[in-house]
Parts: sequence; C-alpha cells; structure tokens
Amino acid sequence: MSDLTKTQNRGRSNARTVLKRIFEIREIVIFLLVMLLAVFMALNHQQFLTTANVRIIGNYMATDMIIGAFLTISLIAGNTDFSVGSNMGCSAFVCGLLLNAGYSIPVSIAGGLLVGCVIGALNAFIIVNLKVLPMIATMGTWMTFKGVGLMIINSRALSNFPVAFKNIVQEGSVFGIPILIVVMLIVTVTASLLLKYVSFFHQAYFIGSNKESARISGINVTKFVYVLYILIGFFAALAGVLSISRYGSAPASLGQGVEFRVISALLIGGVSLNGGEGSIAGTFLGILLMALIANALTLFAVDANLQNVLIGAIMVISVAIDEANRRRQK
Amino acid sequence: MPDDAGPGDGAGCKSGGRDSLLKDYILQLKGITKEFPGVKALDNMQFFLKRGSIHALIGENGAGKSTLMKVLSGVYTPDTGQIILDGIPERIANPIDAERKGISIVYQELSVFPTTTVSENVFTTNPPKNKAGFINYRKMHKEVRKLLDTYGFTDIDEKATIRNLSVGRQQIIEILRAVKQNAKVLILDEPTSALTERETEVLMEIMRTLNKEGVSIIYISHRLEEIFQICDTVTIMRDGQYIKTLAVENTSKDELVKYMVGRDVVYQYGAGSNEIGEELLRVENLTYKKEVKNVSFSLHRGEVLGLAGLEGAGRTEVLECLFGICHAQEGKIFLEGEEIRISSPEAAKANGLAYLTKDRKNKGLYLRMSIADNVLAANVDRFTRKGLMQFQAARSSAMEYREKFQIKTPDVDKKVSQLSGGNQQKVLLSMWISRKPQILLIDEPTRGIDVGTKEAIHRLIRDFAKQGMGVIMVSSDMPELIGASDRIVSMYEGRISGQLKLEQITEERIMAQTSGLTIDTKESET
Repeated sequence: MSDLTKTQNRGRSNARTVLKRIFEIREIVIFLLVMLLAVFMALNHQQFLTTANVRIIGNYMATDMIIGAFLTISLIAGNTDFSVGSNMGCSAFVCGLLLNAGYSIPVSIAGGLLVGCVIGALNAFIIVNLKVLPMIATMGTWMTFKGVGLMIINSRALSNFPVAFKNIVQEGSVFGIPILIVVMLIVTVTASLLLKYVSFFHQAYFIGSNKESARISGINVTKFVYVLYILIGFFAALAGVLSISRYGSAPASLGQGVEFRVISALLIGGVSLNGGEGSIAGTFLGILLMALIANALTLFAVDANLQNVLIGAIMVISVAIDEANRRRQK
Repeated sequence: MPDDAGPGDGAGCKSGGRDSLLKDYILQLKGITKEFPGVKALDNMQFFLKRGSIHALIGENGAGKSTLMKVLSGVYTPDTGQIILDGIPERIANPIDAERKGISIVYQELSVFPTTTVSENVFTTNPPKNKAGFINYRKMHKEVRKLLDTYGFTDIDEKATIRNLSVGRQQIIEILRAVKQNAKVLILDEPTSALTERETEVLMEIMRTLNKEGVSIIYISHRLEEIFQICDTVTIMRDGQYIKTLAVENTSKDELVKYMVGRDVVYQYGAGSNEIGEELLRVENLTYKKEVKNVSFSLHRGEVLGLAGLEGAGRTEVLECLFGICHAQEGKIFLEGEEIRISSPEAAKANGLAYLTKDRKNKGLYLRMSIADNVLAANVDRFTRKGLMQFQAARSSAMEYREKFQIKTPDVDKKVSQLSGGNQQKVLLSMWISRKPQILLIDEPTRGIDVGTKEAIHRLIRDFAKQGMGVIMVSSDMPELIGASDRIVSMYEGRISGQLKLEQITEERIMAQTSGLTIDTKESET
C-alpha cells in the first residue's frame, strides 16, 4: 500500500471516529433531532416561527423545566423523585386556598412554596433515615400527596383568585419575554452553573458514579440528599404556583402525570437512572423536543395521542443507543 | 505413601497389579498446571485422595488451594494435567458436569438463596416434580425433613426462610445440598471460617457421618487444630506446587507450618529502613460487634505497621472503625496523645487519616470517571474556593501525581476503568496521598497487581512513611508483610494474637500467630 492511500485511509477513519464520537454524546444527538424537527416545521408550517407560537412552546415547557432542572442533579446522584407532580398540585392548592381565605399574595405564595419544601424534606427523611429506596419512597409520597391534595380541595377546582395574583404570570414580562419563560431560563442557567462549578452540587457526579466510594471519600451524602430533595420540592411548588397564576384557576388534575413526563424527558436528555451521567443542557433539550413534538401535532391537527407514542419510542431508542455505546466501549 | 504411588501415568491402568493399587484412590490429580495472565496459579500440582479418607489440603493464602478445587469442580479448565476419578480419566466441563460425576463443592462464601426456603435450597437445580412437570412441594419438604432428621437437625424447619437462619445453619444447608447430590467426593473450602465453635462441632459430626457412608472428603482449612481433630491425611501446597502428603498421626503442627512456609525468594520492600519517631496513633480496647474484640495497638511516626491475619480475622473492620465507616461499640482512639472521636469518614479525613480499601473497584475508585475526576472526588474540600470547584488545580494535582507515581496513561482525562490494576491502585494512592494525610490505612495494597508495580507501590508507601507519617497495612501476602512491615500485629478471630518486632519477624511466627497457635510457638521458642 502506498503512503498516499494510507494517509487517505487514516483521514477517512478519522472522520468516521469523529462522527462516532458525536453520536456518543447524547446532547448533540438530541440537539440534531430538535434542529431537524424545527427546520422541518419552519419549512412546512408558516405559523411555526411566529412570536406567538414560540411563546406557546416556551410556556408549554416552562413548568417541566423548572421541575426538571434540580431533578436532573438529583438523578445524576442516583436519586429519583416521582412525587414532583403531586407536590406541584398539593402546593398550588395550598397557595390557592390561602388566597381564597384572604391572605396576602406574598404570604399565600410563601405558604405554597413551604409545603413543597416540607414534602421534599419528607422524601429525604424517608430515603436517608428510613433507608427506603428513592423510587419506592417517592412513589409513596406521590400517591399520598395526590390524595392529600384532592382532599384539601374536596376534588373541586379552585378559582376566583385576586387579579393581582393572576397578573403575575398572565401579564408579567421582562423585556417582552413572558415571566414564566424568564423564570425557566433563570432556573436552567443557575442549575447548570451550580452543577458544573459549585463543589456541593458537582458532587452529584461522584455520588451517582459510586456511592460507596463517595462515602469513603468523605463526601456528606446525607446532607446532599436532603438539600436536593428540598430544592426539588421547592421548584415543584414554584411550578405549581406559577401554573395557577397563569391559568387563573387550579384544576383538580393539576400536576398529574407531570412526574413521568419530566423523567422521560430527562432520560431522553441523557440522564441515567443508574446515576453518574447527565447534564442540564440534555434535560433542556429533552423537554424542548417534547414541546416541539406536541406543538407540531397541534399545528398539523394530528391526534394528540400520537405524542405519547413518539415520546415513548424516542425514550426507549435513545436509552438503547446509550447502552449499545457503553457495551462497545467495554 | 501417596508420594511414592503418585507419579505413575494414567495409561498404566490396564496392567493388573497396578490397577488394584490405583483403585485405592477415588480421585487422582496429576501434573495439573493452570496459568493466568502473569501468574502460574498451579504448577505441576498433584493430589491423591484415598477412598473413604478425610484429606486436608493446606497452604498459605494464595498457595493455589482454591484454584485447584475450582479445577476439580469444573470452574476452571487446567492447561495441562489429568483428573482420574475412580480409575477413569475424566474431563470436567463445568460445575454441573462435576456434580453429575459425583464431585460436590461447598465454597467458603455462602451461595444460598436468602429469600427462599430451606427445602428449595437443598433442591435448587432438580426439585421433585409431579406428572404434569410442576414442582411437588409436599415431596420436596418430606425429603428434606428426612435429610435434616438423619443428621440430627430436628430443630431446623424445612419451610423456614434461609435468611432467618444463622450463618452456621446456612452453611449446614449448603453442605446438605452437596450431600443430596450423592457425592462421591465432597470438597469443603474453609467451611468453618464463619462458624462458631458449636457449629464447627456439628459440622465435624456431619463429616464423620458422611465419611462412614463412604463419601471421601477434601477439607480445606486454615485452622490446623481442626485438621488434627478430623482428618487422616494432609497435603501441603505452596506457590501452586505440591510440597508433601503426610499421615496426620505422624505429624505435628510445627512440621506443617514448616512445610507451608520456607520460601526461596525473599522480597525486600524496605522494612526497617525508616527512622521510627514518637507515637502517632494509639488504639485502646477497640470493640466492634463480633468482628473486633478488645483490640489495642499503637503506631509511630515513620512506621509501616503490618496487620496480619486470616480472611475474616477482623483486620479490615479495625481499619473501618478507625476511618469512621464502622462504629465501634467501645474503645478509644488517641492521635498524638489526644483522644479523638471519629464518627464518619469526614471526621477521619479532618483528623488526617486516609483509607484505601481492598475493594478498590467498588469502594474506592470511580471507575466510570477520569483520573482527574477521581483525584478531585477525594479532595473536594481542598479544591473548593468560595464554594466553587477549582477544576484546573485538581487537574494539575492529578498530573503532578501521574508524574510522581508514574501512572502509565497518556492523559489524566482517561477513564480509570481503562487502566491496569496496578495503575488503578496508583490512582487510588494519588487520591489520598495528595491530601497529605498523617496516617495511611491501606488494605491489601497490592492484591491482584503484577510484581513490577508491586515494588513501585511499596516504594511509594515507604517514602510516605519516611516523611514522618504512619502507615497501617493489612495484607494477606506473606512476602509483602515481611518485606514491608517495620512491626507486625497479628489478629485471630477478632483479637490481637501477637506482636512481632522487626527482628522477630519470621514467616513461621506470623503463621503460628494468625492461626491461633501462639502458645505452641512460645514453647518452641524456648
């Protein structure tokens, strides 16, 4: 073989490995998928790129992302939380009841957020002190607080909130960007920076990668678990409060099913249920992809149930690709 | 003597006189060699088991006893050699094949199924079935009941869940499982290491009963006492090689110990080359569950203290109590004369302790992460400024130690799982020594590591101690203990069974102390 063909071969195989590398990074794959879908939509539906539609997509994904950000950090450390949906509902109902009882807006919001934190702390207590697996513990609280939430509102939707409260989300904006989207962006960027640069949060990778080693390395796993679950609880409650402000009412079904939607998005975005892997960017892209699919189906007036079919398929396929990559690396 | 009968080749079976001679042996292993990458685990090993004998197989940790038994039970295929069972040369393909041919083995580690019943554990692979092919539980329970009664365990319920039984009882169920296979040859690999004295008695009773029924037994144990109680023949092996077979009645513990040791190559890892300073750490009356009983010792600056003992003697638990992973019920720990409390690994770290586990893959390293991340993980506190992670500092620290410890890797971003065992151990050392601890606790520092890297790791440990720090090293590797320790503390069944100063250290003495034979050696010393 001449030197020339050798170099050519090397060049070609280099290109191939670069391509392989790209496909081994989940964020890039999902990003390409998002772009593909966005370009397709932009070319095929004139409404897609309008400000109104972008706003719809942003609002659609906002609550999921507000919940998903810190859930991602916790899942990287190997601790899942299925109670976020019930927490979101329960906290929002408490906030709504306080408003209807005549308490001031700040007090009512604080009350709702406090409930979220308490549910989070309870999760951590069950996991750390009672040594119940996170999945089981949070499925327990998921069901419990679903019931509690419906009990405190007698299964009837809450409404008649003060106009000032409704206006927070309905009218509020920063530089013309709706407040819900602004909050989402702030939470996303903050969580992303915390996870990357702040020691306490960065420990998530160590704990998730090998809990035993982390314990022996002298990492305070207990403290980490408590802080993360309380934060998740806080942001689930915030998502709930923002939702009822946006709708102007609190439907009894508020928050139901959110937990599975968010965790699916996390898995699509590259978070591993085994812990140790994932990023906020991946989660953001996962949630964005889901929002785009929902939006596309709405714009084309296709059966909305197709959304579930697509999301389910994408989730399984993307996790399967990851497993294949891992096996190959071994 | 089997010694003399041994070297005949199996092909000679046809000649009449020899045939009757060989028939005496239920099992013959000849010229067995098994090589693993870098180690010759078995080297032309032979073993002859007489029909109806209880035959002990002894040797140090790593002598190759378990490997030999794994060859016999079909877990490993030997590179060369012959297995002759009841006069017929056999190839044993796998453990099920071994069972079919009448060889049953009870391993040192329990392999019962904790959530299932006693009966199900006895009949794991071949439960009695009815005509439709369903499991016949009535028949199964009845048979197990009969079996339990036969061996005098009238108080064990055949329907009890395994995890509710004591470890000793679980071990007994395992032996019954082996018995149930109608074994011709039963192998017991250190069955008593987890048993109480009572349970050991019971086990011996079972062995005698089985033996009367014609089962030949190979008994592996570190407890020399037991060999004199129950065995008739003993074979000693060392470094994968056959050393000698003796009739138990014609030998003594001292003679056995002498055959077990006696190595030609002496490794030198710098024992005695450091200046020993003042006391750094003192442990008084440390007690943890049943694992550690009333343990007291001290460690000095510049010293590498070897902690000798058998598997399960409580050495690892002592280290874990010192590092706050296990919580001692009693006992005091003094650092430079001042009492300290160590309630967690964080507290231990804050007091200048570092701990390297023997299970480095599962409990020490983060295999899926890079070298730099591993170094960072044990040093999060050191590499945090104003709450922010100092990735650059951690990275340069990892690079510094890559140079210092000569970790063979192009860059520190490589995943630790891609390194060799020796280099992984160096990464673990980097993680902890970069903290500049005062005391290094290290468990089996070179287990599974090639000879070249072994030396390098011992040089690092020695250099560390030389700076006036202290090292407590748990090791089951005799040359390592002798070559690297300035002083040796031996443990036996949770207690300190002896101490040896540098000039007193010999392989025989360590072996005696760690087998609980302290009294005997004192006699022989005078």
